[in-house]
Amino acid sequence: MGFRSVLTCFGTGSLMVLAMLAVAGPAGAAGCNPNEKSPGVTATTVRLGATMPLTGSAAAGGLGAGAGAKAYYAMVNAAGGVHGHKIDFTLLDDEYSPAAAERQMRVLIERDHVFAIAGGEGTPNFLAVVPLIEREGVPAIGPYAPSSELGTMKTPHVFMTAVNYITEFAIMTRYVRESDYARSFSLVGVQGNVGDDAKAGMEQGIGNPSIKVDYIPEIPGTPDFTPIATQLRRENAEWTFLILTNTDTGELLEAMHRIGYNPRTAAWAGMNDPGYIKAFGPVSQDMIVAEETAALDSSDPLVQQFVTQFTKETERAPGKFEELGWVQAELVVKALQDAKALTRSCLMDSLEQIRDFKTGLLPPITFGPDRRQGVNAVGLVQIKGGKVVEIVPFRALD
Amino acid sequence: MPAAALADAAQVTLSGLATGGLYAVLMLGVILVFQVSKNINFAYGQTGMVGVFLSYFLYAVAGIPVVAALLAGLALALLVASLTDRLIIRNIPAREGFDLVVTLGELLLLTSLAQLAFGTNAQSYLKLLTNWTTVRGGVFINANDILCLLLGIAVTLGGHIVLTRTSLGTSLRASAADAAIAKSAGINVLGLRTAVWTVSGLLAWVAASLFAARLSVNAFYMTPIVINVFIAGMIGGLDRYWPPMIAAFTIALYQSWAIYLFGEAAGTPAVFILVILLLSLVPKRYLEERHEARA
Repeated sequence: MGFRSVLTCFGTGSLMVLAMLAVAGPAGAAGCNPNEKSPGVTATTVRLGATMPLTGSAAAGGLGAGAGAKAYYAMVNAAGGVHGHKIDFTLLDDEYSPAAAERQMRVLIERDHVFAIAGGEGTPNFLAVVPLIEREGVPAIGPYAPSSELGTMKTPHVFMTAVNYITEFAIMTRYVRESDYARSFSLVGVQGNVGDDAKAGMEQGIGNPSIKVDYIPEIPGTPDFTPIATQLRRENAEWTFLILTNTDTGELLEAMHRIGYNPRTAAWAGMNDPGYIKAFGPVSQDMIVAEETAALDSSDPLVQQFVTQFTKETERAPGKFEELGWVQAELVVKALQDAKALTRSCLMDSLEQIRDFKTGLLPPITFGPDRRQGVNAVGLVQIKGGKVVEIVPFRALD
Repeated sequence: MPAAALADAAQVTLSGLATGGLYAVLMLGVILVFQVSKNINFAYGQTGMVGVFLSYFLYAVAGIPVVAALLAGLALALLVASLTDRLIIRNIPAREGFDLVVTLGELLLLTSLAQLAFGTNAQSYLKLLTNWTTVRGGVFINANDILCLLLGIAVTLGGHIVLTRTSLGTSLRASAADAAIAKSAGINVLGLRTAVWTVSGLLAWVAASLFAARLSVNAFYMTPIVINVFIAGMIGGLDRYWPPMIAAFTIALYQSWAIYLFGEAAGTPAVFILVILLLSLVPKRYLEERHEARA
């Protein structure tokens, strides 16, 4: 088929579109177009949306993060909004279910015509909506969905502030290696992407191919943790790392304790939670836990300011999930304020210009034209008594 | 075999048998309800869960003495079990499968109510001897393991004695065989049926309490456990007594070894592989239910 025939088949207009796409390169590198028509923006409002688990086993996270985001937007709206636009935030329940999340995301994009996806809570539910977000070209800002599947230019519309588990476990393992000279490690992790990422992170943090990580994949809901505990005892590693649900983490530690195996332990950030420490504190003493968001009793003035403002808005004290939702909203508002115009391309451009944005609640956030992982640092805390004590402030991999 | 490997093998066997003991406690309730009223109660595990969760809330949050809290939880489990029969099962059409649907609905309802009332976080329950351990030959023998195992054996033997050697057992067998004839013989069939459902609530509460001590309390913790019990019942046949009770012990032991040898991810597939192998390889006459052997 010759060039003339191609022209005949596709028409001159289509060819011009193809040519423009070729010149434009990958999505996200197109720059700000203030004249572009974007949905969700009126003369007085800008419509944002998110899905989070508001019912079901993961509801605590979604309800908390949703409350944090709503409180922040209420504060911004009371102060006049962003460039004279009040924020109209719609939060839908995804039940922590990939199918429900996909259905609700369609509602937000196709029925409510949101301008952008603002935040989110939960990895499997968010991963399920990423193809839709990318297909529709909707910017998604700061969802809490730690995964190595996100935070790269493979998903250019998703701007991540949740450090992925590879980085989190690499930082944690490196600290353990440096501070304890540990030489043997076990890992019990949720089977699949989550556990695999944690293992890859540990191997990176160990930095010595001769030291192997004994990895035991786990599926939530076992009626007896003794066989896993016995496997761990058989391997007898100095350190056991855990990336399980809070309930399974506590129950496994109880089982290990019952059979007399008490190694030093480290776990992902979920154990930095008062509910976990209240339920399983006695078997979690001295456990090292990643810290993705700042401690609420931190002396950092920005954290103190958040606690004061949230308490003023809601008349109650915040928790870690409220902190997460608040900082997601803070990043969204920062991007809207810095955007040259309220169009999606200008919002993307604005996000790409963010450098070293300090919220106090997260490590400093930096994006770029080719950078979608805004945070690459975690802090470390240790469970002592009924609370956590910070042992390492936010730090990145070298 | 090295001593450490033997100790590990004994450890896994002990925990598997302890879990099996609790499966047997649950299984007795499933068998009694099935044989006397011909129903499967999917909300069975949640009946125990709400009782345990209430006990937890009363002693840990409301500050009520532990014994009173336990009695209140037990009372709730008994009430839920008996009301499941009186208010739900007896009022649905006697068509096959309706009991499954309505008790599945009850399972979801109890789960949601527990979440609303007590929250979504897992809670650590009473120790119930899990904190008492002695070491013998490198094996950590936990008192809770021994309690669960002995309880399972006692319930299995006791259930058999009551069903075969007491007048109560005779009445139950007669009601199960033909309710109309039993009624004409002066047996309070409906009363017996309610009593059986209530006893199933007691068994669910006992097992749920001991599982809570070994795991933790949340709205979902009994669901995978009861699934395993129903699978053991399917393998053994709910119209019999010894095969499902023995299956309760063996399935727990088998699953513990599968997890120990092949990893936790192998636990659930191993059970279903066993079911498929049994159903396809064992001669049908061993799997067909013996109707004459109803309770």
